[in-house]
Amino acid sequence: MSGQKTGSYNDEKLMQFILYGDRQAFNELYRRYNQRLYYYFFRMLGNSRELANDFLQDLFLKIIENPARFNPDYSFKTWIFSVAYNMCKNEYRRQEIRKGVFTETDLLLDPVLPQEISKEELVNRIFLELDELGPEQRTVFIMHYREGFQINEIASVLEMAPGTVKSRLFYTRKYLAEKFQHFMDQIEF
Amino acid sequence: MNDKILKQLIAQDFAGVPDPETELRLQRAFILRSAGYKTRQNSFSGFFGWLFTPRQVFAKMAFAVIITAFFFIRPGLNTSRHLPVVIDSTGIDQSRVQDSAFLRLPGRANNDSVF
Repeated sequence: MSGQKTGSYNDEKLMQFILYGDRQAFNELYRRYNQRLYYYFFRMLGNSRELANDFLQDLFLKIIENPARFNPDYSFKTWIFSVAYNMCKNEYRRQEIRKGVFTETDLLLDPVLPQEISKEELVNRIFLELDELGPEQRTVFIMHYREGFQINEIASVLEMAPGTVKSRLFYTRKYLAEKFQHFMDQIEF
Repeated sequence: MNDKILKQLIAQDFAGVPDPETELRLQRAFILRSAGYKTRQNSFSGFFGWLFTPRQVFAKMAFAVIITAFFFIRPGLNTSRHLPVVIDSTGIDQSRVQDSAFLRLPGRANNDSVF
């Protein structure tokens, strides 16, 4: 890397360095994305820290094993989230996670929200409600509200038309508004 | 709660940090993998692989023709003893080179040099 600090390179360039076995570049890329991807996996996979850690590790192992899979002409951010999304989708298919893990939490969920609720609890409730929806809706929600992805970027990750993404987002908002009717005075989804 | 507040709420949400062991395991995996890259970089297997495969056969043939032509054209490599020029970086044929160190004097029977 000819002595230049890794922090000054963009993600795509770092991936090129990784292709030639540059450890610093890998560490930098991990530093940039580990927290974001951990959150994504955590919220996508039933709020499980164990699964989030396992999936995070598997995702970066994929990069180590075959960095040439990434095409530097495209955005790394979009690419890595599309890999993460596909991993979650495969996990859903493999374990039928929604029927297995989430049903138990659904049963415990009190349908009546308290009059006063902390922000943390509210977010947890939102994600528990989102567990009822498919992985596409949840991914759209996280990418839009957490990662700040544009509609076109989400469309690229999910390989669907931007109009479909908009519709998924609209449906998710509507769904949450219905679920949180108690907060309609305060919540305007 | 409008869209902006919802965005703020989700952005501020904290789900913990990844296990530090994960990073260590990945670093070990990367070191093992990059060791493999370096071995490949320093080996000649790639070159020989290219040389003995039909890939870019015309380029290889052109290169061979240039090398062969060079051997034919270059006089120093011509082994015929009838040609006059016999000096190159590999040696000097003194029997056919006249210089200050090797004089053939008229009337002398042998070829001893005189200084």
